[in-house]
Amino acid sequence: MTPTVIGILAIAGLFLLIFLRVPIGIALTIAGTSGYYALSGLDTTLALLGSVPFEIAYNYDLSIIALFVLMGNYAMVSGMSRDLYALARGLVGHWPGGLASATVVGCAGFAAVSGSSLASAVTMGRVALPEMKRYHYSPRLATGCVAAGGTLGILIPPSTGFIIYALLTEESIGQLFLSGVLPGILLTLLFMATIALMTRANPEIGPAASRQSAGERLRSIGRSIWLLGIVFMVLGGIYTGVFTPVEAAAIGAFLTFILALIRGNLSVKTMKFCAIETINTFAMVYLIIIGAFLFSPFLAITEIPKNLAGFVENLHLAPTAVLLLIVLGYIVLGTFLEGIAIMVLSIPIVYPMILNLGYDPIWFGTLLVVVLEMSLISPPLGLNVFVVKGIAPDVPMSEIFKGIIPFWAAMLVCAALLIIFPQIALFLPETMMR
Amino acid sequence: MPFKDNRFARATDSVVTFMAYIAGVVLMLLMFITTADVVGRYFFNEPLTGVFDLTHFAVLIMVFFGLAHCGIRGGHVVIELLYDRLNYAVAKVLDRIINLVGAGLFLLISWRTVIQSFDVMEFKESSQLLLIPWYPFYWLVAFGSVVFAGVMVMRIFIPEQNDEPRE
Repeated sequence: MTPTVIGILAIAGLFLLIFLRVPIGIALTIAGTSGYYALSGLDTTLALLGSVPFEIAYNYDLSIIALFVLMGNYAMVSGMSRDLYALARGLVGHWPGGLASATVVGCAGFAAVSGSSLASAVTMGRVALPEMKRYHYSPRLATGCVAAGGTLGILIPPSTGFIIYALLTEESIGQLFLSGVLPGILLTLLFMATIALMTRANPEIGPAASRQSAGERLRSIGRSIWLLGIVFMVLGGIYTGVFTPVEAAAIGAFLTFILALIRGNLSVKTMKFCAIETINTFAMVYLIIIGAFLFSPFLAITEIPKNLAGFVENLHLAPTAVLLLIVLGYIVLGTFLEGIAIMVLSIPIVYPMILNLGYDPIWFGTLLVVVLEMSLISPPLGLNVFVVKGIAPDVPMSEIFKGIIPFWAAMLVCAALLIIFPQIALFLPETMMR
Repeated sequence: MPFKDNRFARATDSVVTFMAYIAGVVLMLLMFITTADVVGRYFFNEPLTGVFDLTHFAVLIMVFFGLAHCGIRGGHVVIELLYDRLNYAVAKVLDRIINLVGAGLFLLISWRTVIQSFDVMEFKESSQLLLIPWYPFYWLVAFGSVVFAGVMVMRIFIPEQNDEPRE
């Protein structure tokens, strides 16, 4: 058997394992280990099993995942999502469809302390859905905006998506984080525009809520200002080079911890909960990373990524055509695979191709994350949809998916704008102090 | 707690939970020392020595003391596409096989990591600044992997009692 055949067999086996419900990290490890065994024999394979787990976990940058997840958990248990929603509601709630827009803005704010889309959808959904129900919003719009708004979690830094991309490609975490800021704001505005268009066409789906008094607004600003200050400091610190992303994560977690403590929102029990939840998430992500680091070097030896990149080059397609095909491929994969899995499986093959085509890898990372956000709400397996269903059990799944369609279209527009104007992603990373 | 009816399972569960708590404490310590390092650097012109080294070890402890807990809680990412269409009996058998293979894999990792640790000891590999030797942490990796394998073995014999879907 040639290495290419072994590689193709390993990829096929990998997909089979994943569909048989083997955890993705373990599936990658099995496929990678068997592949190495077939290519390089038993001794090499055993030596890798003895060294890779240590070497991958003996890692400075990985700590950033744990610290940012911890920060998000502190913000979540201490009800800061409620404050952010209150602030957004005070600002835009009295517009037609304003509560839905407020949800999206609240999600964007929460995304800036949390790297997880699921966490963003859960926390904001619990606060915003009852409020929208009270004002007789259509369930379709209400659930759709929570599911879609939640996806901002992986685009607006901190973002697990960017961290994994950085680990797999050795690109800079700081630059990737900053590249997500403006597209995140753009997508938030696009979501709000979508809501405005929908409520203009059909005003009864999102009636305007009562206007809040200046006093109420000032109070909600006062309650959220500290958290917004922390976000500003973390991102500003990375942008100006005052601290590294890891240090920013630690300081962000520490300040959020202190803020929650001062407000009396942290008991010993919730503190334990936050730490343990963080460790669980971290171990889960790590298992996928170790699998990726056994699988992708193996794939590199089979020369499949190189050959595929060469093959694509020989087609003499315009780079844009190849890029669009790649994006289309991701949208299809996104309908049945989960975001991190897609990234881990595809990056070894797609990344060399992107470099070959002369695209900027930071920009591509941002585009990839936007496209993966779409996968979070695509039927049949959009994770965010299940989360929203969990909070709003009385709304049928089909309604939620219908509610998502306009937002999905908005994401497509965002991806298109990113392709046409790469500067949206690249402006901040290119001007940051290094 | 998923496995409350079996003594072996209960014991495993408490070991695993204890390990997760250690990992949680390490996580909070990491948060504090990194913050202290930055504050020291900018305000007192005196950064803490070796935070960079300690962070490496902290990640190692968090990962390998957390894996088994994540495994017991069923938190590892799986895809539920084909699985939903299998009948229940087939699915249960498949689950057991998967756990068996997973356990075998992590026992293999554990065994090879111990063997590797002797090389690491011989070459006196250590962290850059504080010169903390690596080999005890290879044992930690091996230990965490064994416990993770143990959790998977347990899952072969004891069916889960709370089959709740994860969030």
